[in-house]
Amino acid sequence: MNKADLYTSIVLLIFSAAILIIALQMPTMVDRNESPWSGPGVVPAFIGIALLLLAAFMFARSIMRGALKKSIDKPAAQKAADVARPDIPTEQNSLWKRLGANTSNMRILTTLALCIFYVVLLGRIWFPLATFLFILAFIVVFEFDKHKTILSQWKTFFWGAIIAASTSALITIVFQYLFLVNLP
Amino acid sequence: MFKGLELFGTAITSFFNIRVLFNALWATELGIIIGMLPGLTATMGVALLTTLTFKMQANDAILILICMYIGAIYGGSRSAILLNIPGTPANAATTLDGYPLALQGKAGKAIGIATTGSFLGSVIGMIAMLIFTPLIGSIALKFQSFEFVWFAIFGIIICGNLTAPKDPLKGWISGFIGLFVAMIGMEGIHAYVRYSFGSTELSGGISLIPAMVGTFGFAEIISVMRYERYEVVKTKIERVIPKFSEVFKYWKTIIRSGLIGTFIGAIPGVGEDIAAWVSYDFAKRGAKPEDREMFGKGSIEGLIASETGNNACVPGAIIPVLTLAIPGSAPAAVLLGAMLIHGVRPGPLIMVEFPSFIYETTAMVLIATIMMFVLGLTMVRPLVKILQVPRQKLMPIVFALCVIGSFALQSRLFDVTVMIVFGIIGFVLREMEYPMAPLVLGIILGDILDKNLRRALILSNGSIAPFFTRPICLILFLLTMLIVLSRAKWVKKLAGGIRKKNS
Repeated sequence: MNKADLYTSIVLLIFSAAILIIALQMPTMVDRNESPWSGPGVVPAFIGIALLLLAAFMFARSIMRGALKKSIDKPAAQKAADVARPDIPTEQNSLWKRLGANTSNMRILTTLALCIFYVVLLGRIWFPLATFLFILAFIVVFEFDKHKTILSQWKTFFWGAIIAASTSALITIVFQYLFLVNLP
Repeated sequence: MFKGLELFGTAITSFFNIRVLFNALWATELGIIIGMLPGLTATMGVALLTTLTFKMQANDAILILICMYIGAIYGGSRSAILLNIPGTPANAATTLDGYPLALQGKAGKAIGIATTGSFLGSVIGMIAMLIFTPLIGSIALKFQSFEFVWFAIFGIIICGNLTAPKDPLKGWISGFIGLFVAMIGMEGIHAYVRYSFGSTELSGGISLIPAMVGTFGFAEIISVMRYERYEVVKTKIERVIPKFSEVFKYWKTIIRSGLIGTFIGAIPGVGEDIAAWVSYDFAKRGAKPEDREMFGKGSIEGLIASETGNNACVPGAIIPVLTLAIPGSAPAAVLLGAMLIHGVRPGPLIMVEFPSFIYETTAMVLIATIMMFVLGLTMVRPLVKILQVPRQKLMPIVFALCVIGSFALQSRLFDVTVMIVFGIIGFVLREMEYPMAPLVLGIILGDILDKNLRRALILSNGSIAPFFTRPICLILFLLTMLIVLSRAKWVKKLAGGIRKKNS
C-alpha cells in the first residue's frame, strides 16, 4: 500500500497544484469595485492549499514507511516460482498478461466495457432497444460457457432475450407513462 | 413544546388517507427489497426514487423517499442473516451474529429480532428528532457565515476521521476532493465559471444525484460483478415474530444503541455503517462476561445492538438535514437534494419558512417505521426468492436504472457521463481504501463553504480573527483540532510521555 500511496500522493500533488494555480489566475473582481475577498478564486485556493498539504503529508509518510526501498530480493528459485504464478507481478507477467489471466480483473473490465457501450448507444438509438441489447449482451457474456457449443446453450440466449425484452418494456412503460420521467 | 406536539399530531392525522398509506406501503417494501439485494444500497434506492417521484407533490415524494431509506437500511439485515453478505454497508455488523444464528437454524428468530430492533431503533431516533430538531433549529438561527465555514470544515474532518478509522488522512483527502468537485461550474456570487475549461456542460456544475448514483450505484455494480458467486439460502425459516420477553430482556442495549445510533447519525456524513459498528462495540463491552463470549457466535444482544444502531441512525441523520442543510449520512444527502428539488429549503430558516415541515417529516419517519415493522414480520419467505436471482441477470437491470436515475432529473446525457466517471473514480478510490462518504459530503458542503467563507471574509474585511473569537466558532475550531491532533502519532507519544511522568 505504501507504493500506491506514494504514486497517488504524487498525482494529488500535481492535481492540487493545478487547482491552486488556476484559482490564483481567476479575476479578483477588484476592478468591479468588489471586495477582493469576494473573488471566485478564494475558496478554490483554500481547498487547493489544504489538498496540497494533505498530499505532501501522505508523500512524506509513504517515503518514511519505506516506499522507495526496493522490495527485498527473493532467491532465484522463488523468482522462478513467481513467474509461474500470474497473481504476482514480474517482468514476464506484464500488465496485460496479468489482466487476461486474472478473472476478477477481466470481469471488471467486461462490466465496464458493456456499461460504457450501453451509454454510447443511448441517445443514438431508441431507448428500449438499447436497453434490450445491453441486458441481453450482459447476461449472455457472463453466462456463456466457452467449453460448450453455441447451440447447446440456446437456453441462455432464449431466457436472456425474454428477460431483456420484458425488463426494457417494463422500465419504459413504468418510467415514461406511470411516473412521467423523460428517458434518454 | 405543546405547539410542536400539536403540529406533530396534525401531521400524523393528515397522513391517514389511502393514497399516502399506499405510497408508504410500496415504497417501504421496495426499500426492503433494495436493501436486501447486495449491490443495491440505500443511497442508490433513495436516488432512484428521487428521479421517479420528482413530478409528485413535495410531501408525497419525501414520504416515499423516507420509506425507501428506512426500508433499505432494515432490509439489508435479511441478506446479512441469510447469506452472510450485508445487503447495504449498514448491515456489516449484523452478519457477525445474524449469520451464526441462521446456521444454528434460528434464521426466522434472527429476522424477527432484527426487525424488532430496527423498529425500536427508529422509534428512539424519531423521539430524539422530535425533541432536538426544533431545539437545534432555533440555535442554528443565530449562526452566521463564520459558524457555517467551521461546520463545513468540521464536517469533512470528523467524517473523514470516522469513515476511515485506519487512515484518516485518506478520509480527509477524499473530503477535500469532494469540496473541489463542488467548485466546478458557475459560482454563486459573481456568476464566474470555474474549472470548466470551456465546456458548456461542465459550467453547469456536477449535479449531486448523478455523482451519488455513480459512486454508490455503478461502483457497487462493478464490485459485485467482480466475483462469480451464487447465493443459496440453505436454512429454513420458521417462526418470525419474536417473543416479547426475548426482546425486553435487552432493553438496556436497545436504549443505548438507539441513542448511540441517533447521535452518530447526526454527525455530518457519518452514516449507518459506523453507527452499527459503534453500538455493536459498546454492547460487547457492556455485556456480562458470560454473554460477551457469545458475541460473534450468534449473540442475540449483538444482533439487536447493530440493527437498533443502524436504524436509529436514520432519523438522527435527518436532524442536521432539516436544521443545517448538512446531511448526516449518504442517503440523507440525497434526501436533502430531493427536498431542494421539491422547493423545500432545509436549513436554519426552516423554523421560519416551513415551521410545520419538521413535524411532517417526523410523522413520515413514524409511518415508515410502522410500515417497516409490519412488512418486516410478514412476507418473509416470498422475498427470500429474490435473493437467489443470479447477479449477472440483476446487475444489468440495476445499471439501466442507474442510467435513468442520473438522466431523468435534468434530461441531459452529460449527467450519465458524470455517473460513469464517478462510478469508476469511486471504484478505484475504494480499492485504495479511500472512503466515499466524505467525498459526497464534500460535494454538498462545497457550496456552503464557498458562499460562507467569502461572505465571512467580506464582513470581517479579510480578517480571520472572528473565526477564532466567536464562541461557537472557537468550540468548532477546538473540536476540529482535537480530532486532527488525536490522530497524529507524535501527539500520542507526547501524551503517553506525560502520563508516564505523572504516574
